[in-house]
Amino acid sequence: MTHRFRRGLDIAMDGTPEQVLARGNAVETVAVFGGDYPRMRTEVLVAPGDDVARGDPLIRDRKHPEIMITAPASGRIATVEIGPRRHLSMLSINCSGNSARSFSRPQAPTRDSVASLCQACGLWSGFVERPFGRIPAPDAAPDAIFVTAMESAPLSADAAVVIRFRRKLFHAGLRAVRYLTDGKVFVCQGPVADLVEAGTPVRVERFAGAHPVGLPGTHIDRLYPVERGGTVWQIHYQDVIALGSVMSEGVLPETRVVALAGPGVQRPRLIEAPEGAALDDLLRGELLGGQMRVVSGSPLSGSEASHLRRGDHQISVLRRARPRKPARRRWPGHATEPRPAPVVPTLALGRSLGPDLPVVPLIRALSAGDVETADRLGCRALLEEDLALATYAAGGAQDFGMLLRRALDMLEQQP
Amino acid sequence: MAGSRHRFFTPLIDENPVTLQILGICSALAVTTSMTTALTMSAALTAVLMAASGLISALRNHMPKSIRLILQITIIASLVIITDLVLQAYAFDISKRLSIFVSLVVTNCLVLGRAETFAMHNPPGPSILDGLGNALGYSLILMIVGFVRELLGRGTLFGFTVLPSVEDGGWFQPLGVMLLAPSAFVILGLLIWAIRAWRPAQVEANEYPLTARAEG
Amino acid sequence: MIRGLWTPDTVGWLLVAAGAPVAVAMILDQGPDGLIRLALGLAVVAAWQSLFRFNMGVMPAPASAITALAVAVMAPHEVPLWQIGFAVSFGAVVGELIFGGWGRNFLNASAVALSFLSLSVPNADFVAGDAGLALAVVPGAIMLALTGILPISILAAFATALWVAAMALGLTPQILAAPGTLVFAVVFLVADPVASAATPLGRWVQGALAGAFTAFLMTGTSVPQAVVFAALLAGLFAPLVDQGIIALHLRWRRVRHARP
Repeated sequence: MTHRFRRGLDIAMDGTPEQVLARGNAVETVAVFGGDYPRMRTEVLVAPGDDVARGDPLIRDRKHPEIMITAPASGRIATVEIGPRRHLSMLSINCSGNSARSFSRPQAPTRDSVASLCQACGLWSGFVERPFGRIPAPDAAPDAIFVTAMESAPLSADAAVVIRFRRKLFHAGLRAVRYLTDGKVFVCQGPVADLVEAGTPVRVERFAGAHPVGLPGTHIDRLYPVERGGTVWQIHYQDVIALGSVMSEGVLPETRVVALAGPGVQRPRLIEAPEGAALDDLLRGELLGGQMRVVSGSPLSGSEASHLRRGDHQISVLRRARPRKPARRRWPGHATEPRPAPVVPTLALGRSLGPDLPVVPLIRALSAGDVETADRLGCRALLEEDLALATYAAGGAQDFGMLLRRALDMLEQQP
Repeated sequence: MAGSRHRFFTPLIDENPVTLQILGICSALAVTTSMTTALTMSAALTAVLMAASGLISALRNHMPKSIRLILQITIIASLVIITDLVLQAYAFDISKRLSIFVSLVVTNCLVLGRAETFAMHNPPGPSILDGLGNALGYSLILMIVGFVRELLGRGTLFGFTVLPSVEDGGWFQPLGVMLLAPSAFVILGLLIWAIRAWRPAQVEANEYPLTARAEG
Repeated sequence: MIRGLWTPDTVGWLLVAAGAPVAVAMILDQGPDGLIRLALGLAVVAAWQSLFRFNMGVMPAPASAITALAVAVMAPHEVPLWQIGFAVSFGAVVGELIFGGWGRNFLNASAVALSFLSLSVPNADFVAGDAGLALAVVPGAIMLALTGILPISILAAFATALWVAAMALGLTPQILAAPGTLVFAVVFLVADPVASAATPLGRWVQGALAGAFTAFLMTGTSVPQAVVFAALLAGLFAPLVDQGIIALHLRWRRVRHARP
């Protein structure tokens, strides 16, 4: 059935990508960032100078040693930077060759064999568990799994186009995902022709409306809300495609499809690029002149980065505005720190949330640090990405995503 | 002597019964429309509080614990009735304007509070001093609130014209809101605020400190 | 990464811009007296804001200028300047700054200031305002509505409830006699984006409450005073209304998403 999403905001931007797939520039380095796995206690399994094939394990989780993060491309380890508390900060690979580790596919797949395969090939980290937004524990079983087969963020790729290119692999991936839960597997797609062939053991739901209609938070809220109990996992369709590749061909795919777009790009379009690709390499010869900000992820929720970050499937090149003077600077010669800017409810803010929660009271509770009220109002239904549009609508005076993360961390530690 | 000086002076500001413990505010807003009534009320309360503290302290070792509240209230009520009768005899007008509020000193938490927390555990001398200190702390607040309300609400102090009002051919337009009960709350609130700005030790901890702005 | 335009400061400046034509109309109508009152009000607001900025870190907000404007527009002409200053101080400090400034207040500062004045001089004539004033409010109101700052639901609910209640009580002529203040007060006092109810349904309820209160209070006092008190009362009820609506909403969610 089609769910009409009546809230949301259309954000008009220059440089929307043409939905055609092109081969991107050759990439010389790829990188993996520990910051993309904030809860993992990382143990680095390689050293600079080691040669790795695509799919070789790079990092594992000390708490759950079966969960691996694997190499996105073959080559030689260039740098391993360890940050505070021995947490990996960045690991980079100089790409060369095209060797790939092949994974043995389970002959008669079961929940456990598919889960071990996901953990070994690095795709386990593509699952995000709600509430709280963590990589699931290796033995966890969710009540439902949501496959996000649509995008609504500004400048994003059309999921339908990408999935049609990788139809077989997508279906192989869906059949694998099916083993991981006894509950339903939802495939949430846009208001287009079915992306899933009849007979696939999943439930297809269509969503139509403005951003954030394509965020998994919006879908989960409509179909299986979890703020009062239960857990669901969400996974991006490109991770499903990658899983399909491992299931049917035994190797991780060489590339992902990435939308290269924004007002600073000459030919906004979809390109193929490996995960973790250096953005300098991808953008060589693609930019217009002038001062630009290169953002991994959507213009709303992404961050300025040197490499494509885990889970990001778009590169947004934005014009760098004149350096803003800090809106709330200290006045000279006085010690009192200014208070953070208040939340002013406007129509846009009221429409900015996917889940059907009382937006303004919730955001006020978060910004006041009132975790108890935020919990009562349903903040467990949200992850950082769900509040990116609210942050935008409120003019960026406060980063609601960061405030939400703080509240979720506190709630997660309570029994 | 340092102890008794401390006992006398701390209730004036640092542990003021009205602004810190928020006791006795009911009468504080009822009788402060003019300074005359406020002063009379202060005097009545001072008399009752000192006498009650002294008496209860003297009897403290003879009171059975189980019925001490009844006894305390009986003592206080007797003193209040005497005070009320004295007022009716010698200051009938003011007594009428204070109406029921003198009798209600019985229920003023301040009196029973001092009896229960201090007089029951200390000899009569310090108890009387404690009663006096607290009564003066209460009186100080009453006088300040009364001063603001009468001056701005009528343009007078103790009934004498200070700011000639428009009705009497002067320039002063009285601020009528000052004669209404809510204004006493507001003045009391501002007063508490001022005291806490001056003596930050009285400020309660902030339950929800605002976090600094996010980076980026 | 990208940020929308609606920072608190932008919203504040838009409110000021919406008030500008009203200020012009008011000065044309009242002459230099009006200008002096407005200037005094603005100076008082600015003084309190800088005091709070330096001592408590409360950032000055442009929107607070509306308090000065509202008092200048609606206060009775015979009120002396020092009382104007007092009322604006009261509104700015007790209505706004002690909560952490505009954006964290839970009552409309203009309504607080005007209620203070109204209680102080109960028998004075508050400015009723003619159609000219009403017309001066309209362009700003339209601009605020189009930018999503002015909650239209409150306006609609207010108008409907006022009209129904006034018909029932037989008070419609009085409403028609004071269009200026009514329109001004509903836009700048009742439909305050910050202090009004925070849930969409709550805004309808709050607007309706304000309209009904206005009609009932009109039986005992003049229309401008009635609408000021109605704005204050409805604002006081807004958090309660929100609580009720949120509780209903959460319960409805629980029922709708009940799982065995």
